[in-house]
Amino acid sequence: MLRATNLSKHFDGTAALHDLNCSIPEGVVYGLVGSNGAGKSTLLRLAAGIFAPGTGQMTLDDAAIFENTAAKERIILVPDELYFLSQSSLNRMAQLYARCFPHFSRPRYEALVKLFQLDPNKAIRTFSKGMKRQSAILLALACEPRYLLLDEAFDGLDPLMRDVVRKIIARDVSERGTTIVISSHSLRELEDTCDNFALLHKGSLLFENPKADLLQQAPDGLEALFVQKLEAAGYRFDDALEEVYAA
Amino acid sequence: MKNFFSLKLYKEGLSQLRLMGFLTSFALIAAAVVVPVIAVLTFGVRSIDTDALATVTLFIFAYAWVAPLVLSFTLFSFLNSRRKSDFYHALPVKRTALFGSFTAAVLTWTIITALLALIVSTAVYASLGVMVLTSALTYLGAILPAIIFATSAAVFAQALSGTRFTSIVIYVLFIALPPLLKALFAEGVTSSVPSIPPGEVFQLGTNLFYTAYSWVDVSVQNILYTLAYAAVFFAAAAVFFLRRRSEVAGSSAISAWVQWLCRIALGFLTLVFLYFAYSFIFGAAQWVIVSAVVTTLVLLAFELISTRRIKNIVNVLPALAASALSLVAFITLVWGVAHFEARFSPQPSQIQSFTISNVDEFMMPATDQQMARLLQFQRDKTPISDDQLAQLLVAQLDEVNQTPSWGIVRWDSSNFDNGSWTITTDFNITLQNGQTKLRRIPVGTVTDSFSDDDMNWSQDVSFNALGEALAHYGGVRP
Repeated sequence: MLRATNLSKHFDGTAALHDLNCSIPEGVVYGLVGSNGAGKSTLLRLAAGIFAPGTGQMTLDDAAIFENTAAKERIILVPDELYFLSQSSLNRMAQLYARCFPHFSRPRYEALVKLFQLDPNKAIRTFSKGMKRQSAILLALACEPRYLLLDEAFDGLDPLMRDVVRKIIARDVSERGTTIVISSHSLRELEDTCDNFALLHKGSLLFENPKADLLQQAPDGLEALFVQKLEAAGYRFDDALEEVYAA
Repeated sequence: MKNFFSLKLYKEGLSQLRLMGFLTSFALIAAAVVVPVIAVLTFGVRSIDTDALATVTLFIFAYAWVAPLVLSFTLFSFLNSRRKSDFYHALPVKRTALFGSFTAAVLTWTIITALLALIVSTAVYASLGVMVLTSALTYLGAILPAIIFATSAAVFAQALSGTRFTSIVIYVLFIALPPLLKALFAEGVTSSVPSIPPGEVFQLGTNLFYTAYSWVDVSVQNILYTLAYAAVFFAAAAVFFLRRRSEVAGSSAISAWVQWLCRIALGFLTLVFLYFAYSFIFGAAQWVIVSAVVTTLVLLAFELISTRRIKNIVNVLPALAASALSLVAFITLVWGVAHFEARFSPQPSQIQSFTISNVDEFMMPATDQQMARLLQFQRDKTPISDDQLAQLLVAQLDEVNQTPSWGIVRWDSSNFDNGSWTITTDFNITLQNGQTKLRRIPVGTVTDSFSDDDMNWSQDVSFNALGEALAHYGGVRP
C-alpha cells in the first residue's frame, strides 16, 4: 500500500503539502483531483521518490520510498512535463528504461508500439504533443510497474487515444493488479475510470473515499459534490467576480 | 558497490557522451597526427628536439582543461532543469550510483582520448623516425592527474549549482582561487620575511592541472598531491549531490548559503585580481574606488544572470562588504603568519644542527673533491653541527630579518642595472627543541662589470663570512 503519513513539503517557505494523510490501496484506480496548486503533482513526485518529504513519511508497504531502489523499481511516474533525451527515438528511450527498470518487458514494449502506431525509430522531438504523451505512457507501461502514477494523463490525447489508455488502465488493474494513480483538474475525465477519489486543496486533503460511497452522498453527481467541498474550504469566486464587474 | 556504481548507468552515460565525446576526441587525435607530421616536415628528423612531444601535449593539456568540463556538463545537465532532474531522480538507482556511474563515464571518455592521442602521436613520431616513448610516459604522469582533477572540479561545481552559468562560475572559482590565494599568501609572507625562500611556503606539492603541459613538475609527490586534491573534490561533490534536493534544478545554487559563498568568493577573487593588477599603478585611494566599482559591476552581473531576478540586486552591496572583509581577513592572516615567521631568530646555542638544501649556482667548489662533498651534504641532507657556522648563520639571519626590503631589492631592476646580485644558500635549521625552519640566507655577492678595453663582461664573486666558512663543507670559491 502506498501511504502518506503527516506528509508536508515546502518550497521556498511555501507549503505545497501540509500534514497530509492518505492511503492508496493496491489494485485500484485512484483519482487525485484538486484545484490549481493543490499539491497533486508534488504528492505524485513524493510518491515516485523524486522529492524527499519535508516532514512525515511517504511509504510503499511501510518502507520509505525516497532513495529506496526496490520501491522505485515498481513505481513509475508519467509527469505533466515530459522529458526525453535530446534527439532520441522511442527505441533509444526504451534502451534507457530497460537499463534502469529491471521489469522492463521488451515484448510488451513492442506490442504497445504497435498498438499506439508510433514510429519507434523517429526522433521523439518531431512528435506532436499527444504522440509524446503516448510515448511516455507506453514506455511506463512497458516497465510493468506495480504503481503507475499519471500526472494529467490525458492532456493532449485525442478522444480515441483517451479511450485506448482508459482500456489499458482497466485491464492492467484487473489482469495484473496494477495500481493506477491519476491526477487531473478535470473530474469528468476521471469519473468513469477511477474507483477511489481524493480531493486536494491548498496542500491538504479534503476527503478520500471510494467512488461508491461518494455517489451515495452526491445525488447531483460527483462534480457538484466536489465543487461544494471546495467552496466550503473557501475556494469560491462569486463575490470577487461581482467585484470585477462592479468596478 | 552497487550503491556507488551501476554498470548499466555507466553504459548509459557513455552512450549519452557519444556525440560530444567523439567531437572532442576527433579534434585532439587529429592534432596528435597532424602536429608530428608538420614538425618533421618543417624541421626535419635530426633537428627535432628530444622533447618533440611538447607541442602535442599542449593540445592534450588544452583538452584536459576543456573536455572534462564539456563532457560533465553534457552528462549532468539534468541538474539544471526541473523536468530532466525529475526524470533522473525518479529512476530506481541510488543517487550515489548515479553520480559515480556518470562521473566514471566522463573519466573514461577523457582518459581514453588523452591516452589515444599520446599513443597516436608517439606512433606517428616513431614512423617518422623520432622516438618519444620515454617523454610520452612522463607526460602521461602529468596529464592523467590533470584530467582527473579537472573532472572533480567540474562535477563538484555542478553538484553545488542549478544552472549552467553558476556551474561555470563555481568551476572558475575552484580553478582560479586556490593557486591565486597560494601565490598571494606566499608572496605576502616572503616579501615580509625575505629569509623564507619564495616557493617554499605551502610545500605540499604542485597541482599538475596547472603544469600538465610540462614534464618538469612530474613527480610521485605531485601526482599524489593532485590526485588527493581531486579525491577531496570528488568526495565533496558526492556529498552535495546526495544531499541536493531535486527541486533546486534551475535555481542558481543548491541553497541560499551556497549562493552567498559564490558571491563572496567571486567578489574576493575580483578584489584580489584588481589588487595584483592595479595596486602598483594606482594609489591606495584610487585602488579602493576602482576595486569597489568593478567588483560591484561583477557582482551585479553575476546576480542578474544567475538568479534572473532584479530584486536580488539588493544582495550586491552586502556581498561587496563581505568580500572586502574577506580580503582584510586574508591580509591579516598573511601579516600574522609573516610576523610569526619573522620572530624566528634563534641564539646560536639553540641550534642543534642544519642541513644545506639548495645552493646557488655561484657556489661552485674549487675542486671536484669539494664539489662531491657539497653535493653529498645537499643530497643526503647531512646534519651539520658547527658552533662557528651557527654563529655566522644567526648573524646573517638577523641581518636579513632586519632588512625586510632585501627580498624585493634582490629582483629590483636597478640592482640588475648595477650589475650585482646576492648569492644565497637554503638552510634547514633544526633547534634543540626539535623545531625546524627553512631559511634562505645570503652568502655572497656577484658583480658584473664590463671592460671597455677588451669589450668583455667579467664577474666578481665575493663571499661573506658565512660563505667563506662554508668552504669547509664543500668549498665556495669559484
